[in-house]
Amino acid sequence: MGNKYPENVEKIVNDYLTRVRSHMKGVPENDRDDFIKEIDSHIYESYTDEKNGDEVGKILKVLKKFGEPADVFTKSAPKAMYKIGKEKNIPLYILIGALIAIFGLPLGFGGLGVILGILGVLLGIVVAYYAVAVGFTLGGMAGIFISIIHIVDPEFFTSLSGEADMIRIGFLEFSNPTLEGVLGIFISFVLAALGIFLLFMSKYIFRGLKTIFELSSKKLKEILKRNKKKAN
Amino acid sequence: MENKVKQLRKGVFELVILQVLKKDKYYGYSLIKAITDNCNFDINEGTIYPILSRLAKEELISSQWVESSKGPPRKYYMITHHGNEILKGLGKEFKDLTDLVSKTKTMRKKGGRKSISEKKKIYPAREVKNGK
Repeated sequence: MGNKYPENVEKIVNDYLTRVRSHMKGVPENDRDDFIKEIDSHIYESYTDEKNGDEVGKILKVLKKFGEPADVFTKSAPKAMYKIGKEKNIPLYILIGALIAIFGLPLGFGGLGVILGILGVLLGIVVAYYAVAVGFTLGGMAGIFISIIHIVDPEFFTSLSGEADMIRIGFLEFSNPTLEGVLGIFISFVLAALGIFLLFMSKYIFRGLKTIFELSSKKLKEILKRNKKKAN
Repeated sequence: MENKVKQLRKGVFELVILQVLKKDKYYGYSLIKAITDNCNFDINEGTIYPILSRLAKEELISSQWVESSKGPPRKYYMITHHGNEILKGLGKEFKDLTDLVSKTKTMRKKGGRKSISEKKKIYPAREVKNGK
């Protein structure tokens, strides 16, 4: 901050600015520096304006007028200041909070296991979801295909297997190939539509899951980093 | 109580800052001086910085660092065109709100008898409507 103050005053100011800085966690680095520079400038102007008292008395008066960092930069203030670009990080705290609440674990190595577990579960959900969606779609399409063949040539599957008619499954037994086929097509169509709908919806569902996933892996990296530091 | 006061002040201070910056450009220290000179209650000078920062993010004001011969550079703030537009709306809204506050404060208890002259005072708008 240069040597614009007497040494003892400089110390007080620097200490104050450090305290201000400690209340600006979550504010982007660039903005933080700019902000500190601005407050430093303010304090200097105010200090030179102050005519009564000795150096220390003057600077204390100036800082008192400026306000306690904790009061001026309340928890909500820096967030409100830098709402844009900052908001995104909030769900992480909620997620971590929820993890601690659910598992009652401080997020050390135990937390690592929890997060790994959650990532695993998420991966499982993704795989299962696609398996179901693709299964429905392909199964539905195959069903339509089989049903059409059944209408065109009711004996096709019988001739193929040489035994009972494969398409006659329980409730589809009307002994009328066309009716069976139409019903088959209908059911298969619903199945396929459901599959395609699931595939279509996956875009939205996974966007949400992706966010959780990213946040979890981000936290994971943080924990790994912290533990590495601790180990060193 | 303290919290309520803070909340109330925050919104009003945005309006006040925009009003002052409409007249001229100021840097933080000179801006708070201009405000506290007209202010008969204590405020922490630092509180304007979060507000200035928010107004800047919303692009209602812009800022510029200018070298000063008397010390460290100063960050000057000026109102933007958008800020001017918003100020117009806010000023009108604020006037309506203070009117509402003063009117509801003098309002009579429900069911109490009112003289014609009091009715006129409380419902001037209706009076005008009926007069037409």
